[in-house]
Amino acid sequence: MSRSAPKHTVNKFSRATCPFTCFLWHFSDIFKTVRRTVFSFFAYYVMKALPGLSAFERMTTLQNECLTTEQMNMLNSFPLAKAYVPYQVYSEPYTPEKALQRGTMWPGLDQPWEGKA
Amino acid sequence: MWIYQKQLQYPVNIQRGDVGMAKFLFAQYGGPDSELSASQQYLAQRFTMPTPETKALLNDIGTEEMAHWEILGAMIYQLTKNATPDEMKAAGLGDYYATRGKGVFQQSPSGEPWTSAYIQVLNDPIANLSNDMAAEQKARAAYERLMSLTNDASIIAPLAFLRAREVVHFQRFGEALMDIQNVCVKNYAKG
Amino acid sequence: MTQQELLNQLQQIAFYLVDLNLYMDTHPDCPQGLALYNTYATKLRELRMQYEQAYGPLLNFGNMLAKNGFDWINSPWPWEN
Repeated sequence: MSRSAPKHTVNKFSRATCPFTCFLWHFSDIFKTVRRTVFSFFAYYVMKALPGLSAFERMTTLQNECLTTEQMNMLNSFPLAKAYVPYQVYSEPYTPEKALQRGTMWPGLDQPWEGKA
Repeated sequence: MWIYQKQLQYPVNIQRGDVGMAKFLFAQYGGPDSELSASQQYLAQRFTMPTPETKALLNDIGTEEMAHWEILGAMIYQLTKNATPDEMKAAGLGDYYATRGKGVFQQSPSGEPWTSAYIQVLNDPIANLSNDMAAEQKARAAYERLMSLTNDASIIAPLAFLRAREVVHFQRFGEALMDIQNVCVKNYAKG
Repeated sequence: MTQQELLNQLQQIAFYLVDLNLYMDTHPDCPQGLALYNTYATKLRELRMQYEQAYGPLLNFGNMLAKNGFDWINSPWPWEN
């Protein structure tokens, strides 16, 4: 789905009455964006409220770890156009028996699927 | 080179046959985002990795993915080994049975043979590791879909295990990316 | 330990070491990880020796000894239940 606003096309009609049609055209762009934003917020909350709409809901529940403003500010100061994954810091691992059952020895990497299982 | 340990990484003891589920499991056995794709991608990428850490990681994760491919093969084998031709036909594996009997062939659920067109092996380590992280997410999502296609606990348990491994692999590839990405990190002890 | 108990222990420790190996690949300077790795690697070696003595080899290509004829070829193979 294309997210870019449609390009402003100039034709004879718009050039002749430019100020008014330009205003309308830009206004409708803004309107489209507002409409899209409102709809996606609406869709988000509707999806969250309705049970069993699995894929979207599961996708959003995966993202539920909240970063503080301070953390985001820190992240936003990093060089652009690179992906950053935090280094795991050593912590007390599970026992071997629990590790095999959970699929990892590291509690921090034990991130089970919340869907139907 | 590889030696073989005569034990699956995670136990597979399927309680009853389910040819339909076996068909779905081909997705992770010989499909585009399968363990086979992952192992071949990582083991081939390791040749041109620039640092000891990245060479070791691609080598070791690639090897682990072969063990996962083996788990999928064992599941498909156990799910179909006692199936009659009629059961194979009824569950949508009639064409498969006619072509390959109950062999465990590397193909997608819809019958496309595995191909290296499914994988990416480049020279650029940032591109390679980014592709590897994507592969892990695709596999993680695939296991979630496969778990939602069954209620059999003896099938879900190995699938949940394999999904958990993808999460860990994503983290490791991310750490490797941090290691080779062109951002200077002074004096950071990786401990 | 029975054969199955030994196999269960081996499966747990072998998996543990794979996960730990991956951690050490990206954290080669981690002292706690290194100590843990060698502790469990020693444990794996002991368990394998026990298994080999009683039940035959779990590794091919000469990595474990063949005690009762060439018992490497015998079942159970891992995909059989």
